[in-house]
Amino acid sequence: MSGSRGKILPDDIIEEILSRLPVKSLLKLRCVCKSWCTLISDPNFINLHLKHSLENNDQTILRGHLASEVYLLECKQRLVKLDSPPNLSMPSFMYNDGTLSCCNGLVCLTDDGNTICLWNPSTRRHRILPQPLVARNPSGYTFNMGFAYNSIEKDYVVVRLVVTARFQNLCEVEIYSLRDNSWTRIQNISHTICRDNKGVVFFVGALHWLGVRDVDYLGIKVMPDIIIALDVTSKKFREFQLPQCEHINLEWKRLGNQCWTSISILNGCLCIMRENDIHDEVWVMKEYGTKESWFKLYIIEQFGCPLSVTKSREIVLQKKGILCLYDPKHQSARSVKTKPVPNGFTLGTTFVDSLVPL
Amino acid sequence: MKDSFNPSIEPPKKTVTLVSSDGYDFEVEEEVALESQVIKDGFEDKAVDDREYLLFNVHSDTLELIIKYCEKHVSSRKSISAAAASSSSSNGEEALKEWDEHFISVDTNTLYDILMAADYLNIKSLLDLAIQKVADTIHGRSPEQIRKKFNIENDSIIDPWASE
Repeated sequence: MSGSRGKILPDDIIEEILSRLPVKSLLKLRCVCKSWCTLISDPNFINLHLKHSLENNDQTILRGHLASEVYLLECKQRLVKLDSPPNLSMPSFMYNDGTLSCCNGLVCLTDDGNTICLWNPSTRRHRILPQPLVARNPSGYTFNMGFAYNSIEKDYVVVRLVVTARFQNLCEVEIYSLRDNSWTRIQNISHTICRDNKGVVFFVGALHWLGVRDVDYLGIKVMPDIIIALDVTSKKFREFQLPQCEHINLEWKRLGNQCWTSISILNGCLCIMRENDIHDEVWVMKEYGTKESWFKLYIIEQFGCPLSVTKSREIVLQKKGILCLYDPKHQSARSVKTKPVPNGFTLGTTFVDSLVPL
Repeated sequence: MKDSFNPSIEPPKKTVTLVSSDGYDFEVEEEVALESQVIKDGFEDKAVDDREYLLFNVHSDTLELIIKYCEKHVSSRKSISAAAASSSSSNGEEALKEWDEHFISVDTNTLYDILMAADYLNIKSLLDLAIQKVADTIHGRSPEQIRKKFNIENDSIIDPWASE
């Protein structure tokens, strides 16, 4: 910015300018000079950059059946396959088994629920977590994960929920702290988690999963009827009842479920999206924690299976491995131009570009 | 900012005088000048008859642009809130965004001057606009191009990413 007049920008302005650049550019610019290199790895700068990313980025990260199939939907039009960390993929016995959870540009990824990886796709750094305390038979009962930021402790945490006994309303729970690099057991919960959709949302300081209140004796009932919420600072669980399912999906019914349900955030509210045989429904919980406030916001006529919601409030749907973005305002959908992804997508969530180290 | 805009009961406009570093006077409406947080902060303490601000760091060429920006933002805000009050649809925000984009599409030296003036006068929206513009212009440049642009001496001992 000096031009011919030989002017030099003050440091705080330089910092503001750099904080608006994508991580890929910043990594290259570390070698401009020593002070830029120091700045780009400074924790305050990393926070400033993250703040801008959270305000401005509108990206969705998606996974397929395996951890090696992770994709980034950039600017809502370009789908890029990411280089997942190696040795994570565990072709497992059950479909939809692996999980994907994101917070501040860090991704928590696992296939079997035992080998768990934290990964920053922007800086390409990753770390494999130590073995969890509660063993899980990879072909056995279900599990789910969630990744969150504890703003009081200023620490990133992974929460792992494991069902260890059949036909019981019980999940064993443990929390991993990135700062301590270790797992700790916390209280069990007396519900079970949804087997078919392992979506997770970090919202208002809590992780939210789809859950099943009462498992029947045959273990057939797997229709999610509650949201299980864990406040990551108080480590207290809550549950919110889901609205009644009005229509069913025969394909899912064969698997013991009634319709595909996924969980996301829309208009600053927790939302669920259901695909049944007639249409997709988007429900929002207008008043957080109040089950009476569930409101059917949109009905989408037969577009596909909802996965996530973008920051600009478009709904990410998939139909036979093709991604579509549905704009509820204009009731129109457009497909993302890409080759069909072989096994389709199982989960999607919002993502931001960040320098947060691992 | 006023809650609603009704031109018929608008009182006569108060003005202030902004003096550029090269000695030119610019008479602007008070609410336009108050877009600058620096002027706003000192406004209450100033005597009612003393409505002159000496801006030692802002050249008249730049000040003219800054005033144009502030006038546009004050008037747009009014029409947006008027549209909201009468619940008529308006694409005011979109239009203002486009206007901003056009406004900031200037040569490097002018962009530098606007950036420094917005920083000095503390006009947050303009500072953000100018900073984002600089970020956009350097996005994808090589380290060597950046050094040249920012007048930076290469003091890195090793340059491991230079080949990228």
